[in-house]
Amino acid sequence: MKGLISMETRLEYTSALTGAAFMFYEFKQVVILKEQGLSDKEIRAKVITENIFQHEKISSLKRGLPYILRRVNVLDEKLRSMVIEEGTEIGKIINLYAIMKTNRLFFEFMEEVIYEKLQSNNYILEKKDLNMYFTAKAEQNESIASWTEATIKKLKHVHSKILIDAGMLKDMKSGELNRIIIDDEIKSHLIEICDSKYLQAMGE
Amino acid sequence: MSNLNSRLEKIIPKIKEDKFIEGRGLGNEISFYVFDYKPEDELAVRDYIKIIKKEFSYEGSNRKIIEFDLYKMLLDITKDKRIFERIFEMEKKQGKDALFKALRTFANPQIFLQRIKEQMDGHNIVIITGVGKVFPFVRSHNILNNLQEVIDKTPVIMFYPGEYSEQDLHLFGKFKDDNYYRAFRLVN
Repeated sequence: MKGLISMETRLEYTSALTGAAFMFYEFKQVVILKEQGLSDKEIRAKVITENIFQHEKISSLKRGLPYILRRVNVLDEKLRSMVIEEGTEIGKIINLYAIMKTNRLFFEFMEEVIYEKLQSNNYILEKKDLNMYFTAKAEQNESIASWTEATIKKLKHVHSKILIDAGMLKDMKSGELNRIIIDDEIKSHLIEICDSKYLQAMGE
Repeated sequence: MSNLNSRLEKIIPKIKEDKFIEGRGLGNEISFYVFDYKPEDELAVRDYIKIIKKEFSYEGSNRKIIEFDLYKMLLDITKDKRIFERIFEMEKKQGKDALFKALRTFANPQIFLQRIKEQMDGHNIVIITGVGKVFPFVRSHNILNNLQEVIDKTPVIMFYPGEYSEQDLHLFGKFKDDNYYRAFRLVN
């Protein structure tokens, strides 16, 4: 695996999440194909010709697939096999980790908003928290500042939705945050591969 | 205490009644019973539950009782899910409030129901205990509310350290759980 630091310096802010939200089912299917030894190219071909995700529209599938592949590609063998062999909850945590690891905007949201809240035992995520986060990012970064309002709106929605799908947010309406207890094995493994900052961002 | 003993002694005859297993007949009433007791009688009640289980454990008995101790279940589930050690670590590192929140999140009714479903295996009477010990992570009415979907019409007796008026559940006589009307008092 490539060094984390070099990877992160290369991560730009993107609005990719507008086209690929949590997508756990799709994530897991790709992990399975990867474990069968297929290359990215083969996976792409198989997913599209056989419509493995069973999406109605090929276009949305084509759009989301590169991001899912990228998520799967940051997993090492151990994490891949955990996604396949362990229960859904564990798979979802690993998916959340992979999203953080491949999406700077989401990772910083976890680090700067969610972690801060959990740290102070504040379990309500409000609309204004999301607004403030995106406003601050737009001020700091030109490319974010150039995104349309519709893109930002969609991203706010997707950020919350990912938290719901990962089990960290009860629902949009209440905004109630959950605190998850991360499985021993995932925790020690992430520490071992020097990825403990992602654990921290999940409130550990 | 004598009052408790005489109430406890009525449980076995009650379970032996035909209609206990057959259900209350009328409508599609589910057979949920609550045996409430003073929290200070916990140990006596626990001992008596052993007697009840023994009474019906002979070969060929048509009352097959299974006990679900919610507290023990919670510990077993955390071990299965490999977070047991993490609980202590979390309390130490992040404090009691964080632990409370995390366990409340973790201990949702579904993980209990799933396990109950897996373990039912031919038993035809369910006893629920550990309600006091598992407080405040699990509120028993949340389990009761969802229990029917996994056990259908199997009669359930919940041993409840508190008061049940056939309307309200008051844990330890102090904390009001949600209103609960669906259960009968097992013994008055």
